[in-house]
Formats: sequence, structure tokens, C-alpha cells
Amino acid sequence: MRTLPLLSALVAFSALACGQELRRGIVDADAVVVGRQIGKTEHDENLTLHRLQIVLDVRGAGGNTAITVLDWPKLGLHQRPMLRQSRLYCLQDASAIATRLNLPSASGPYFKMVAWPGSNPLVGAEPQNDPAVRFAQLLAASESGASPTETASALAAMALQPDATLRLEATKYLTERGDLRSKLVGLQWNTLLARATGEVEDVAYKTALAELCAEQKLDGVFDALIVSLGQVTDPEYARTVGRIGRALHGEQSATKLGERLRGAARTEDRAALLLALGATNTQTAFDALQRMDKKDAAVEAALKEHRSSRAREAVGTKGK
Amino acid sequence: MIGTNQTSPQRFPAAIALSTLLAACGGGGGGGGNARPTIVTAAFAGSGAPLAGDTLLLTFSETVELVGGTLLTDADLVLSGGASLGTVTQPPTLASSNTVSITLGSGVSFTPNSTTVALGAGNDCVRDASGQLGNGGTAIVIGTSDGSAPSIANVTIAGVDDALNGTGAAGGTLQVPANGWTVDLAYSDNTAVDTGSIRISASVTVSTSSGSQPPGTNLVPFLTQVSATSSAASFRVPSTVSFPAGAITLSCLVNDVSGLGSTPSTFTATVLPFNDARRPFETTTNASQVWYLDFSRDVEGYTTGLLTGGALVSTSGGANGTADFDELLRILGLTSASPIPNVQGGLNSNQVATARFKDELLDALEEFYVGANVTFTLTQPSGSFGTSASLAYNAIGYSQIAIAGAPTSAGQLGVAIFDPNNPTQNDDTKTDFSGLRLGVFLFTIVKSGFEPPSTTRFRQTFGTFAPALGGVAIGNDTQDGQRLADTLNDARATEIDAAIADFARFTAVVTAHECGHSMGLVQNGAMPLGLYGNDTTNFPGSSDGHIRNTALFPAGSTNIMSPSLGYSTALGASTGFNTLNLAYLREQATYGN
Repeated sequence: MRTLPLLSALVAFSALACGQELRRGIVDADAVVVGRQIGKTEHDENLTLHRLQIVLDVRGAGGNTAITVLDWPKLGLHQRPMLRQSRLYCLQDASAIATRLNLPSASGPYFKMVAWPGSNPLVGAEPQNDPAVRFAQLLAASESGASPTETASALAAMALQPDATLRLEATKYLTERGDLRSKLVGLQWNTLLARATGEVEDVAYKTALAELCAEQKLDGVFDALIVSLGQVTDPEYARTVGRIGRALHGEQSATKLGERLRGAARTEDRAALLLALGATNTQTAFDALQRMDKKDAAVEAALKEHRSSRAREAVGTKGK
Repeated sequence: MIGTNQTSPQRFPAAIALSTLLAACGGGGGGGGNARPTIVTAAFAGSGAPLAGDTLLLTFSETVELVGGTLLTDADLVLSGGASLGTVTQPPTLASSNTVSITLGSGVSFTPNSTTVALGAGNDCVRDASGQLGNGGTAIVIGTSDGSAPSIANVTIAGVDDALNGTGAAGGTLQVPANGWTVDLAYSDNTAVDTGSIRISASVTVSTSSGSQPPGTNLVPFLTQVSATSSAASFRVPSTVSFPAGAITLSCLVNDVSGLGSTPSTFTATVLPFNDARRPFETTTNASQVWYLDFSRDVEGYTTGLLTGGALVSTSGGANGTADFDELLRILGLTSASPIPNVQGGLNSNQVATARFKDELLDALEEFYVGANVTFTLTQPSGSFGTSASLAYNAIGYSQIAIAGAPTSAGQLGVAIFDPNNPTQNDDTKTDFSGLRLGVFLFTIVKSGFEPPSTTRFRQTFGTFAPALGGVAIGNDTQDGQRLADTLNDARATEIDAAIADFARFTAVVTAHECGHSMGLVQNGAMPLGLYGNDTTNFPGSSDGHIRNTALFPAGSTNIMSPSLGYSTALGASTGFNTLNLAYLREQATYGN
């Protein structure tokens, strides 16, 4: 049996390493621990019981030094306890399954792993210093009453750190938590926006920062993000900028992109701006694209990006 | 066009029979039954009438050697119309592994683009690697060289990308059944490739309707041409042709229209004829693999609540008489609590929207599984799984999967039985497989999609309709009936179309993924034992039973069998199965032993 977990709805994952949904795993888990698999028992052909030694209880292990994690070998779940490795485990209570299957209570408590991608990262020799563990501890502390301002500041700092996985997680978490976002101050936002505009290598991170700043509706954020179009050629960034423009400025977003387009000299700048224009999905964008040469590949791509039926007809992709 | 007017075996069956007979009877000179080398194209490298000192290039069907101390003269060849190479005094040389260069002598007399040439019985100069002297073959018109020989950029089978066909860093050897697959070539030339003279041979004896063809025989006459363009060609091995079990090497040649030929380009594979256990869709008992899509699961309800910058979607209670799928459509705003009656064909707005979703879902699944012997249906075929999760392939005529609500474990979009090589029919509708639910879990995308940020494609699509996000559900605007019936085509009508199409396509990607597992995707390990599942070194981000192929898909699209899935990439226009997975589904590649 196989499972398919979901990545965040907002970005492509093509450029990312594992770890991009760790925060969801931590939030959805009943227990978060650093554990080491020390034994495996076959209950029957459908179920295997993995014994985990608790190395560090982030939250929810209830003082147990060892727990049992259920695994379904025929189900080929893509996250399962790894032999003799210390990993961060985001676990959901499985006591109801254990009871129904008559598993021995002495081997409990029973858990199963959450399925969010990247929610089972390898942990280094010093768990307390591991970035993923520190991130989990930060979220756990937040849930147990830590000051929102302190949590937000810690996340903002984490969002600017070099660790590609953790900075992405921290950025996304801030985006998803309006209550924490509201605790950040102007200087922090300036720094985050500067990083959003300046980043050119890690497109997923740049896109996440763009979403974060847009969600906060920072002044001038759309204009700042437009500048990178062309420097960053990944179409997902252009699409994101187009959607942000529409969300923040409506029809006016197409006008802003059009102004920038008139001054675009480089082919890649023009292509990215056109794609973003199409992604605004505005009437103004459609009208502008309609006036352009549809045999131009960049114009065609922009029209395909525009989701109106007229745009699809214009490039011959309208389905039924 | 200047070039060879080679006899086309397709047009002249007698020529095939003759050459086959000759090849089959060959074997002298220590050749061990291999076809003898023959001239496949010829070009005069000069202008005007040939003069002494000019060059004639003869390209052969395979790598050749020159016998020391011999000359390649009229005595070795059959030239038409009394033509002559003149008094050749210089030994020939190898211009490439399969092209011989002859310096013409005094008295040379032939007409480029008219005179034909073939090896004659007196050839004592050109032999193949096994020492077999060339003799005979089809007479080839001598062209006039355009100065640059064509080249073959790539050879593969079943369109499988290099990264997955055994030639990439991941290693392995592509394994194919005895027939049914395609040989695919990509090539280039400074003028044009003569697509009618493409040559494909094998290192093994191949069974055809015209008898066994020894190694080295041009197999193109026995293959079905799928396509042949200026840059690529594809030939299918039909059911009348069978390769023997074991290792094979295919050797391909292309000629340009000026008479120059490429060097041989080879591809190595392993042939393992199908048996019923390994063939994914053996047709003895079922004409095709049928999948029933079951939307009826009802194990819970859903509520929406406040969330800063979005809405919180939660499960609530147990079965409530409404299918979980239908309830999620209501949450999304694709249907309404108060549908507009009689929108189309007596159906209300909910029924029309749902029917359109299902139609688009089926269309997308058909697109993803194009060429595979797999069909999807909304009508349950006869027969029941009872309490079994899997039944023998011949015990029931279909597999089934639930398209439903929430998973057992957070973050799952789907769970299905893994069925290597698909020997069983599978029931992916079970709600208690030792504690786990099986199926497609749309709750996962709905819940996460309703959360911030508000600028995601999901939010921008469904925010228009989802009541919890401040939208107006389809059916709650009085003109939605006209929009659904295509009699009103305004901006909201476009948004309705997009929302239904997007959700259907996303659901199709997840369904295709899960059904893929239950038909044998993606076995761990390199070919021939697996499909490179869990190869985290060569395909970073892969996991057990999954493969991530970032480099093989354009940005914004993804391999369906990736271990995880983003909403926007699922909707990417190029999202699909990787070429090896598709070859497996089309029964053009097979794994195991």
C-alpha cells in the first residue's frame, strides 16, 4: 500500500529538499519526540510494531522512555521508522487501533506517524542543537504559552538563517499564523522584504517570503517583487507574483506589470513579466495580451496562464 | 533531393524475402550466423564528374574492418551501367567505424546520383568484426556528399528518458517484453536525414512472420513505423515480431539525403517475455484493467470555523447520510445547499456541477493513462470483494478506489495497496485495513487549502465560491444556472469552469497516483528489478515506492508518482507519469525476473 501526502498548497516543491511540511507535522502531532528505533516485531502480515527509544521528548511522550509506532508493511508508507537512526518523530495517537487489534498494553503507548512530507528528519548527534529539533521546540513552546511576540521574533530570525529547510518552514509558518505575524515590527518586516527581493538562488524560499510579505500587505511589496522578474526565471515565481498582484491591487496589478514590461529589454525579463501578467488573471491583462503577437512564445505562455475562456480560445487550448 | 534511391523493402516484399534468405544462409568466414556487412549508403565527395584522386565514401551496415594488403576496386563491387572506380592504387581507409573511404583512380567513370553500387562476390577487402566478408545487399545510388554525415543523438526504447533507461547515472538495464515496445531515435544532419533508409538491427536472432532474422539483419521492414520526422523516428515491434529472452543490443543507423551515413548508435536492453504473473494487464480473463471510482463513502461530516486569514475545516461526527465527497464539494462552494432546479436536462445546479467534475476527472485520468490498457468507470461492475482487500486478477473484473474525505493519518492525500506487477484486483475503498483507511482523501487538500496565505492558486480559485471564505457557492447566484448551461458566459462563468476543472484535475492526479500503486508502481531498485523507486541518490526526494524526477519535468509540473504533491504543480500542464512508469503501464517495459 502506498500513500501520497500533500505539500503546501502555495508553492511548487520542485526545488526543495524534504522538510517543507515539517511544521504541519508538528502541529498535527499528538507527540513530538526525538526517537531511535531499537526493535521491530511483526504482529501479523499487515502490521509491524516498531519500538522507539525516546531520546528527547519535545512534547507529548508523557514521561515514557520507549513507545511503539505502528507500521503497515504491505502499505509501503513512505514514512516509517528507520532502523537504528535518531529522527524527529511527529506522532499521532494510535491507542484506538491498538485496542481494536488487541495489541498488548505492556508495549504501549501506541502511535502512528503523521504523513506530512519532511516530518521525520534525521537528527544529529546533539539533538538539542539540531535545527529541526529547535524548530519543533519553538512551536511546542508556543503551544504551551510562550509569548507570541517572542515566538514571532524567533521565527523571523529563523526565517533569515542559512538552513534552507528551516528558514522555509519558519517563513511558511509565519505566513500561516496571522496572530504571530502581527507581532513583528517594522524593522523585521523591512529585513524580510529585503530578503524576499534580494534572494535569487532559492526560488522556493523567495516565493515563500513573497507570500509572507504579501499576506501582511506591506506597502510596496508588489512593486518590490516585480523587480526580480527576469532575474529569477522560474515560472512559479512569476505565477506567484501575478497572483499576489491580483490579490493586492486587482486590475491595477496588470497596469503596473504593463509599465514595467515597456522598459524590459532582456528576453528573460519580458518573458517573466508576461507570465506574471497572465497570472494576474485580470481583464486588463487579457486585453493587453490580446493586442500582442500570439505567435510570440512568451505571449502564448502568458495567455495560457490567464485562465479566462477567451484566453484559452486565443491560444487554442479551450477544452469542453 | 540528392541521395540514395534505396529499394524499399516495405514496397518490395520480394526484396525482403531475398535478402532474408541471403542473410539466413550467410555465415561463412567465421561469422557465426550474423548478417554480412552490406553497403547502406554511398557518397561521392567532390563536385562535377569524378576524377582520379577524388573520394568515394561507402557506409556499411555495421562496424567494419579492412583486410590488410587489399584494395577496394571494381572487382569487389557491383557497379551499374559499366561504371568504374578507375585504377585504384591506394588502399582504402576507414573514415569512421563503418564508413570506408576510397581514393578513385585514373579512368574513373560513374555518374553521381545515378550509378548504383553494392558489394560483389569478389569482395576480399571489407569484413565485419567477426571476420565475415561482405557480399551482396541492395544496390545503392551513389549520392553527392553534403560534407557532413548525419549523427544519432539518442536511441531509447518506449520513449524512456536516459535517466531511467539504464544509460543514466542510476545504472541498470532496461527490461522489455518480447514485443510491443518502440525503438525511438533522435538524429540530426546539416541538410536532411533520409527517413526511408533508417536501419535498426539486433545482436540476436529475431523471430518474424518471415522467419527468423539473424543478428545484424535490418529489422525496419518488420517493424511498424510510428513516426519519422526530420529529427526523430519511432518504430514499434509488432506482435508478429518477437525478441528472445536475454540481453540484446540494438544498433541503429541513419543516412542523409546526400549519401552519407551515421556511425552505429547502440542501445542495450534485456528481454523477458511476459507471463501472466508479470504482465500487468494480461487479457486472458479481463480485456482491460477496469477501475471503479467510488464516491459513496460516508464516515464523517465537516464543519468550518474562523481562522485568521482563512478558514478552519474540521471533521465532525460520523456517517450522516451524505457522501463525504458531496459534503466537501459543498464546503468548496462547488455545490449549494439550495441548488437551482432544472438547469440542464432536468438536473439541478448541484447535479450539473458534480457531473461536470466527474466528466473532467475521467478525461484527465484518460489523459494520464493514455496508451495503457486501463479504463475508469463511475458504474460499479458486477462482483464484490467482500471482506478481501485483494482478489486474484481472474476472480473479479475490476479494482476500485474510494474518492472521499479525511485520511487516518494527517497529511495523507491517498493510500492504496501496493501490488507489484498487478497480479491481483485491489479494493482501495476499505475503511479499516488493520486500522487504516484506503482511498483518495480530498479533505487534506481542502483543509490546507483554506488556510493562509490568501494568494495561493487554491484560495484564488475557491475563495470565489466557498462560503467559509466569503464566497458565493455555485447555485447561490441566480444566474449560475445559465452559467452552468453555457448560456451566460461572463467572468463568473469562467471562474466556475476553472474551479471545477482544477479540482477535477487535482483529484485525477491523486487518483492516478494511488491506482498506479495498485497496478505496480513504483517498485524499488534499478531496472530490471525495479523502476528506480526509493533511489534517493540519483533521484533526490524519492522514497519507498515513489520516485521524484524533478529534472525530467518542467518547473510547475511533476511526476505523478512523486512521494508528495503540491496543488499548483499537480495542475501543471506537463504533470504526468515519468516515461518509465508510462512504459510499464503501456506494457512496453517490465520489471522482476
